[in-house]
Amino acid sequence: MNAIEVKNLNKSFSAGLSFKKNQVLKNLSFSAKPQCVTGFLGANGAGKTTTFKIMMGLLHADSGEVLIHGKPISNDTKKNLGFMPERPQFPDHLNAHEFMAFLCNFHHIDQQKNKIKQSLDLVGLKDVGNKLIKDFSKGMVQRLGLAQSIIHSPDLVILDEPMSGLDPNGRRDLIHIIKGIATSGTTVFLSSHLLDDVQRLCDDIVLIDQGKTLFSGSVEDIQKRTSAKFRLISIQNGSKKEEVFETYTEASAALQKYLEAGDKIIDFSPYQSFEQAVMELQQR
Amino acid sequence: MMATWNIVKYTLIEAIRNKIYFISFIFALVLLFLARALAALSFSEQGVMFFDFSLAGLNLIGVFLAIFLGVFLLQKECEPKALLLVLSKPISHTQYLCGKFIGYYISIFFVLLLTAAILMLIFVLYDVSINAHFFAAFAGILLDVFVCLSFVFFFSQITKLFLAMAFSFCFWLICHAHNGLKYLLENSSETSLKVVNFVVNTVAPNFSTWNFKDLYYLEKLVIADYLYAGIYAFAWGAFYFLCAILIFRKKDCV
Repeated sequence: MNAIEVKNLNKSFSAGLSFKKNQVLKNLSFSAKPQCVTGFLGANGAGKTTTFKIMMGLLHADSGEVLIHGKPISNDTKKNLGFMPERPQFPDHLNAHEFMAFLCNFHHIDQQKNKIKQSLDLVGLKDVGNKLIKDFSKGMVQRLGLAQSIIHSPDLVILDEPMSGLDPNGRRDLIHIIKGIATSGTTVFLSSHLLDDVQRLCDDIVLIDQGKTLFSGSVEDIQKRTSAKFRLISIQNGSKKEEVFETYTEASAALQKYLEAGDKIIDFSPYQSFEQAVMELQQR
Repeated sequence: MMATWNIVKYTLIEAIRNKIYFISFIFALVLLFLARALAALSFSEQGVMFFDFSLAGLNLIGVFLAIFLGVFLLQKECEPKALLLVLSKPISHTQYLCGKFIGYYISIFFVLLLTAAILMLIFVLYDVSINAHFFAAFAGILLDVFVCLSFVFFFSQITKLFLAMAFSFCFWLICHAHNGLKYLLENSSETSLKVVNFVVNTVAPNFSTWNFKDLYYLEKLVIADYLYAGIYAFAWGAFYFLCAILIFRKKDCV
């Protein structure tokens, strides 16, 4: 069973009092495998955040269906679901510890203090638990956003632009934390514009444009689907040989041939970067 | 139920830390002393005047808090981005709004209770007798705030900040002027005024039903009147609050 199953999702918004509707999602369909990190990519306005909100039951879809672990979104499914919205907003009057306690109560978490401490430790906020959230820096707010999404050890975590607005060190730390979450067996579904980070983090990709799915598959698949050239470096008769193939089929045929001949393969990788492949798919 | 209680608890924490409660309390004390000063101008009915003015002040503070909290704080809390974090947890829209309503009402109740306790102390100091009518009048104020808070919640769901404040205050005034308006409109031959009369009678509760401030010097306390006022207030409060919930549930957190 897929962790997330989105089927023929449609959503439109009306502009003020106008009857004209702007259709944001157009029969959007995709799925995300369990215990994988899936990146949700698309340009601004592609419909990523709208999709996230529908997945969390915060927006009503015009038609279509979203299944989380095979069930439609409800209070029951939310118990095993963590969500971090883009640029999360926290109440001014609470400190980090109090806010986490407030959220813990929704999940009936035992040993709240330990759990809160663990979560804040994990995101590097252990020393600022008693500080008012309104005094937090942007990076700290992002980290707290992540901490609140994993406090109840959910099976699935949905992260909307978790790295947005962070400096390189902050991004590196957050990637490290997300990798840690994924290693523990939690399914992670995240959106980001930072393709380097997506490539480093994700197993699978869902690429959307103007509310439609452009691509859904693994990170390698996206490079296979584009006009990416493939580089094959081998050692033949003691000398290094580097070749570039136009298609994946040609490259894999050559690879097979060299392997059968007993040549040593040093590198077999897409010649085109991940970023170029994504951009090419978007421009098609 | 636990989720609603959690919202109530944190709404009360928010209330304790918000300056508006402290300011309202100070303002309520100023109104009490002003009521005493105004009552002193009266030649022979100082007690009645003091009683009337001070309870009217208490009522105003309650309504001010209901409008401010129900519109300003609720709209701030209900900003889509702030709501995303809470509503992504296992809590329904209805539970959230119920928690906010109960939390705000309890916090207003405590401000009014504290002010009423100080008022009673002042009554004792100035030899104004405290009888059952005082408590009945206080209960009437609580009913007034209850209904007011419910339609404030309703207006804050259908319109923006300042409009919701203006609508709420005007509606509260209309509800208080219900009897007077009814008399004027019924005696008019103008069709449009008859329509206005019908609309006011249909959508606006009559707030004089629980206005017991004038009954201070009546000797007999009619329990049936108070019971009727309680049921009437509860019915109108529930109606407007249910409308607010229905709108809130359909609302998209864009």
